[in-house]
Amino acid sequence: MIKLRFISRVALIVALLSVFALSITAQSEENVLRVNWGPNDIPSLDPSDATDVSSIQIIVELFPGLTRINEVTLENQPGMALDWTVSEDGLTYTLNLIEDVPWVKYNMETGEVEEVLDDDGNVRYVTAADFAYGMQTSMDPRTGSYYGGILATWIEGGADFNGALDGLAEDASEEEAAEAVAAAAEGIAVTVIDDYTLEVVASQPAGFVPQILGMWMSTAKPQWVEEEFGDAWTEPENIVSYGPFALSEWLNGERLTIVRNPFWPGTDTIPVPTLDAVTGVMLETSAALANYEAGLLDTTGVPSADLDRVLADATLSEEYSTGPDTCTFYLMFNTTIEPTNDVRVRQALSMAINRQDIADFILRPSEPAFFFTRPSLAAAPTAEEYPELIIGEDDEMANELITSYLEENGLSEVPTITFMHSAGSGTGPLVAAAALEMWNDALGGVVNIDVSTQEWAVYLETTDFPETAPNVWYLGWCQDYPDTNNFLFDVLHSSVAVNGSGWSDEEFDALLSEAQVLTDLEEREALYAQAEYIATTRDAMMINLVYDLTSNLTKPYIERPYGSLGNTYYEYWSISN
Amino acid sequence: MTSFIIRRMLSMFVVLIAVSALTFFFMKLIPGSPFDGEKNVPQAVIAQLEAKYNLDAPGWVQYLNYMDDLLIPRITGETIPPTSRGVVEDYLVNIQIPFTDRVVRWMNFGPSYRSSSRTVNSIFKAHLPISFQLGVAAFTIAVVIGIPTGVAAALRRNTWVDYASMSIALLGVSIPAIVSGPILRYIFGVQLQWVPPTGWGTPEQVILPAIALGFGSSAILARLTRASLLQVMNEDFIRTARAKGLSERVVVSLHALKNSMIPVFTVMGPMLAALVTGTFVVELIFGIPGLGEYFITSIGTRDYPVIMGTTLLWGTFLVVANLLVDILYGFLDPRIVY
Repeated sequence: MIKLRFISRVALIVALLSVFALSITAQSEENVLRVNWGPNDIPSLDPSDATDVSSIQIIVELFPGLTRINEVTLENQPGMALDWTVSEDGLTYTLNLIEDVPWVKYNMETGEVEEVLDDDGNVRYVTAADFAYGMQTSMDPRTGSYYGGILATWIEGGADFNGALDGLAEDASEEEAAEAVAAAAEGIAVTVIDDYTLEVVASQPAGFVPQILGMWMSTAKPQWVEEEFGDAWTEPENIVSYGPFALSEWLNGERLTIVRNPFWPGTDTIPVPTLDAVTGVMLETSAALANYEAGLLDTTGVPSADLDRVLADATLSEEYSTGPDTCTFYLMFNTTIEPTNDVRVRQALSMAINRQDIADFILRPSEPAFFFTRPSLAAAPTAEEYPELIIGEDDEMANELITSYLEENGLSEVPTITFMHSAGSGTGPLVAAAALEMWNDALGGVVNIDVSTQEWAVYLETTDFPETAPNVWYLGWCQDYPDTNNFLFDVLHSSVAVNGSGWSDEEFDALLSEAQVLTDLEEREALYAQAEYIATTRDAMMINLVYDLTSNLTKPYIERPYGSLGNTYYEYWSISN
Repeated sequence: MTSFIIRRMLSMFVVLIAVSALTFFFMKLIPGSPFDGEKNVPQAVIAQLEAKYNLDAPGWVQYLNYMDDLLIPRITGETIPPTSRGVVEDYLVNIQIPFTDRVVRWMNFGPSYRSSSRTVNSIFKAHLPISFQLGVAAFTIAVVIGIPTGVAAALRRNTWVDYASMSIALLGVSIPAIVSGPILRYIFGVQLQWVPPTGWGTPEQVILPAIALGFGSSAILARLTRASLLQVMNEDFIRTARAKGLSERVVVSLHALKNSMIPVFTVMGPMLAALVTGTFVVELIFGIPGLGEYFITSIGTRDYPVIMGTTLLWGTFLVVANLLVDILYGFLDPRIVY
């Protein structure tokens, strides 16, 4: 009797444990993709405010833009705009929108996505006016949107509108600000021709204007909702959207879920999703990896500390994928203080860096970079095509340059170089140590560096101005849109550059301004190659270290595109059981 | 006792005012604005954003506005529209006045600058209960393991019980959660899969983070209990009690233990306050949506209302915990009278 009771108790415990184990490890049974949005809560779902990758990833699913960049081919394609025409002078864009796309809202009580009705009970559809409102809000100086500022430079009248408050006195009242803004708003060249036709006049004829019009800060926004709820309009109980997915659940700091919008009509470039929903947690990467290994996530990034283990593991190495990502990591020089004010010192230091070693051991995974612009961008010159223009890695030449510098100044050692990275950076100290070792090995021990750190926000301020910036500092730049203009012009052109280098060059600026308004990619590339030469080789105002690569694990039952855009489009993902 | 409590609560209030003023002052000294980012926005735009949140007023005016929103109740209609610049106003206490459509509202901790759709109150409501539950679980582990271990070690001094428990306690104090957390997560969550590696909401998700968090605290309590009990056991009155013929069990449990608990309780008060307001590292490792993250990230992002709110919250828990400990003293040591 006792034995039987004992056995049945044990059996019960074993059964319970296996139910536990099964429930933890079972692959998601419904058609729901399980992802990790990233550590910390999503900062903002407002298309005007968003600057970080996780917010933008969700915004592009809820509020697709006028155009869309294919994440694999990086070509610009139609989005909410079916097609568009450009005037002869390349300035006036007339965009024809998809018709009958309703605004929708997730009903928490019924668990269904519903169309939004206006006061008369009719369905509200997305119209050109919604896009005009979205663009204007983003460019409004009172919104404080960085990407709105970029949009404003490309729309006729936008720069004046975005700068409408520049002339106001410091203690100007809210009413005065509103008046100034309203006055400048008249000049914005965005016109609603009819419900589904939008006319935008660009400030300059550039081939990538359609890309900028397709970015998140240029999408349609629901004016009536934003006016009613203010900043809280993006909360799950208030938000309305129109894209292939709708927000169903947002537990701050824990989970955000988007469900398929049954009212999304589907287009060639933005199809109807096959997934029922995408549910994402908000974990830091090593916690996400633990979940992936336990079978609770379908895809995750890989922290570089775990990279070796993943590549050595039989199963995980099969599920691993890597490809071009969006950033260039670099060291920048302050050209106004000694000793980095001498171009020979800068060139020598650049030539003495072994970028392949940095890519293999320090900043993993990545590949060596000579030009600032990432090679896969439109009109980007590459080191393979222009080998004579890159600075190269040449220890002998570097030694000659340093010797020439030392002799001319009667020194035996290069004066101490101050090197800074941000305090929280895991890779900063490694880069500093690697750089020092490489410089001393190549240059015979005449280089001394003094490494210091600052908290991130303070670091950015310090390295923004030549008066405060150290000799060398470590930063990265990640693309906003896949065109060379976003790297060379938006970061380094003297009219917009904010950095501590104290460097500018008229010829460099002129090349960029010229290339900006050409449409032939080969012509633009040739000009950009010259510009890269000036900045990174002739004047060596920066040392480009590496282009980063993506590092992901994806379960074998997932079918997905492997893109290099920074965000992905879940309409193209599916779960095959 | 009652007048003691009332007097204490008044002084607690003064302490919290001082904490708020000091925090505000130091917070404003940190260079950098909440609206400077990696992406450079023109100065005029930053000025506009600062105006939206009244950051262009002089420092003392901003402080008084903050305290006014926090401490002075106000009466409004049934819904509160956002301000003309879109800022959300959210109050912790909302009491409807009967027979009218007016509502008394109190305690507005302000909006979050980083997540503009949220307010500090909504952050508290969403995340404090979770941190509180984790903190209580970790505290329970700390007390249930730590104090008996310390007592056993003291009573069996210089035996294997003492050596073993104090060695384990040394490990607990030395190994930080950032090391023990991922190890526990990997062994029990990924390899053995006895529990989910991260997350919060089901009972099995409490186990690993509570252990990672509680073990270090239990070690502190064990060592302190042992030291304190040893000291009390050497006191004259214990010798007297034994001389009176009382059994060792009675001597320890009735006389020694209560007196030895005073330093332990002193430590337990702030320990509980720290645990329930959220711990950054354990919550990050185990993906627990608690309040710990907000303490740390708000400083990096210069999210002033969140910095003030989290600091005042911790301050409040701390002074309340200390008050409770002081009241408990009265029961532990009859010589203490209020």
